[in-house]
Amino acid sequence: MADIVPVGEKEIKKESQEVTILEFLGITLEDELIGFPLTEVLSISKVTEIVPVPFSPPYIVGVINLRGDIIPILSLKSRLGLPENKDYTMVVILDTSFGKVGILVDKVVGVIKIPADKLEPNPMTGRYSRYIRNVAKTDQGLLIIIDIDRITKESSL
Amino acid sequence: MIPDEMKEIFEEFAVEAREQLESLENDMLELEKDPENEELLNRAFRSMHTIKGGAGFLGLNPIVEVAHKAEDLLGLMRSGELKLTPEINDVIFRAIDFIKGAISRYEEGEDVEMPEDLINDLISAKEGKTVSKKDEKQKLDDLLDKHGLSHLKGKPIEEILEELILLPPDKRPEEVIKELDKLISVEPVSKEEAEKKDIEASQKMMEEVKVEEEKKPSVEEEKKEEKKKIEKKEEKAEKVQEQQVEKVLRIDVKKIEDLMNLVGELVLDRNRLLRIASNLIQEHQSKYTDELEAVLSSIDRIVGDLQIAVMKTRMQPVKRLFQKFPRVVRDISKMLGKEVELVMEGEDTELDKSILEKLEEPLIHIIRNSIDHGIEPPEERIRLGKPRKGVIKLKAYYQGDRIFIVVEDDGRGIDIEKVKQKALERGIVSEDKLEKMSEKELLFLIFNPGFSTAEKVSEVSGRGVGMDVVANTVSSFRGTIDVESQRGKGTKITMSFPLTIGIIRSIMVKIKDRIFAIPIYSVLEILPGESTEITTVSGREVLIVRDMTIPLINLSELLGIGDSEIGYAIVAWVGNQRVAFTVEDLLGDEEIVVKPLGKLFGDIEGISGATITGDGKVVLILDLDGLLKRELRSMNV
Repeated sequence: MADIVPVGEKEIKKESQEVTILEFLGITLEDELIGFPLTEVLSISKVTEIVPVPFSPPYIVGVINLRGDIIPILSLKSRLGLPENKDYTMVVILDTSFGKVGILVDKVVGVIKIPADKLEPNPMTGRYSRYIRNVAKTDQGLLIIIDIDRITKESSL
Repeated sequence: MIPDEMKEIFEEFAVEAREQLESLENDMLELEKDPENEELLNRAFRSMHTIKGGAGFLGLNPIVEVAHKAEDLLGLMRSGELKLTPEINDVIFRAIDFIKGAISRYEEGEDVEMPEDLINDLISAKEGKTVSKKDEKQKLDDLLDKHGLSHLKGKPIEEILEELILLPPDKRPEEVIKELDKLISVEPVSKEEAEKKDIEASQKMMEEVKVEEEKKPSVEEEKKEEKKKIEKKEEKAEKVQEQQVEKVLRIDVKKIEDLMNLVGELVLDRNRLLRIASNLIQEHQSKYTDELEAVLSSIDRIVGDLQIAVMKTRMQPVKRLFQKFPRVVRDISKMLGKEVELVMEGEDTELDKSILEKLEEPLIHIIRNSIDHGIEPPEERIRLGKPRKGVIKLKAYYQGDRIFIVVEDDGRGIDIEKVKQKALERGIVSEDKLEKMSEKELLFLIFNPGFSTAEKVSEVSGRGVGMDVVANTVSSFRGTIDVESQRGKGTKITMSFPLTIGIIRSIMVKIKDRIFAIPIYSVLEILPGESTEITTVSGREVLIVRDMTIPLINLSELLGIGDSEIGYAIVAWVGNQRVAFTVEDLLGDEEIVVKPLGKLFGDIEGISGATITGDGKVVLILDLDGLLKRELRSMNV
């Protein structure tokens, strides 16, 4: 079973068996619990002014200034076809094969640890199954682990 | 494939070999003009030898074989056993090209096959020469013996002739000269057709021998000539020395880019600091604020200098680019049967590396056009009373804060009538519009996509890319392009680029509560909205300024940010025409640091990047060229 611990704690190995524990940053988008591998997360910040970029697709909300870098901001809700009822509060900056990309999220849940053998394969159902890497059962519900490189690859112009 | 543990050594070899090849290429071009220049021959030989050695160490056998055979040829030339002809040079150039290509392929992790054809050609280049000499010169040798000139046996014709010139005219053996004459006329049959040049030169010498028989020049004059030659050689040697002394440090471009980014941030923060400080100083006046002001102004200056210094590290002399063209001109003019001299000026002018790299293709295209369409064939030029050899001038110079690169030829110029006809045929403009166009506008039609004045698509010019590609490349660096042409006199293409690409002066404009930056270099004038006259022509808004009708683009509409007032119209020179853009308000001009939007966006037509202002806001930089293209497309749909 997965536990939820505050952001920042290191990887722990279970004493009984040598199973690797994987760490994910859990966030919510509407009613879904989504995880990004912690190794890909660069930083988390509040939503600052996003400058829309004309002539770009709707899921690219715009760009922000993050300490002198211009970073594109993606709306996963738009990309994954989720409803857009709740407000975004945070931006998670991820390191992707297309450089730094910011993802708008409703809430940051914290780091979720999952033993590698508890990861389940992509159930291949739902609107955005093509972007799912794995799923895992947690106390909070089903954690959906997103393949961010696949999203950025298909989102690039 | 290069094994991993050898990668680093290979990379070093690749850099070194490319440098050697470049200098070798130039030396071979020089040698074609001056085939007996020992110093050049030695250097060429050494370059090839170094490449062979390096490739041998890495086990790159195809390169070793080719370099080895080419080195043999150069060795024979060095020892005077073989004379460099344009044909032999062609084979050597092929060897150079092969090695270049092979290095790139090894870099890509590919394998390179042994180029049997090339190696055979390299071998026969040296054998063909010696074989042909043998039989035909037997008779000559006998004659030389007869006249007590046996020490000249086996020497190239040119050398024999040179020796003969040195003899007192009354002692020159007529029989030998006649035989030489015959040999020269026989040679083309036994050798490749194109060896003419070589023979022409010999024939010239022949004539000289004959003429001098009559003139009887003094020996002293000839001595003077000799002296001059020696002096020239010494001069050249000095120059070579100078080049070698040049101090160069090789740095990874990535490091310089990081440095550029850091300086960019520093500049932005300095601007912010200055803003805050000036507010602070207005509110509180004390001796500390005075001190603060002094320190700030010093920091301001240092940061400015630092910025320039870092920018300069990215600058490279255009020589790097220009030095490729003697070869290009040689190959193309040879292929087209034209005679062209390339004159280069301002090779030390420096330009940002990234622009420099992207300019090669466009320049090759322009030069190719000049040779193909501009320069007339030699016979035609003589008929027209022009010098037999056409001249293409390639020059670079600074003016203001821009660098200019000019390609000028003395060929036949652009035929405006032909341009008109083609433009009509291709449906680029209507007949009505054509009538109204100025000569300049007509000339600019050549930059239209799909335009080509060549009667038939030739191997040289018609490769599917046109002047439009050239114009696009130039404008992608915020450059401008201009064309001037005089019928029968020649064509001149002038390009200008900003000195640096990182920082540009821009007008900050407000459109519907949003701020955008418009690079100032293309802005011609700014007109207040209330004084402008706007009408509609065939459903399209235009601005009337002093009898000129200028297409008007409503920026807020095009950018999709809703309606806004027309506060000002910014008239800019875009592509080859005036275009007006409406904005709500002007916020003054600023130096801005251009930052890319990131890989996710790729290239967005109409937006060339973004900048971060002093107060940390992101401002998008508009690319007027791209915006115009978008507008034109949206109208055609």
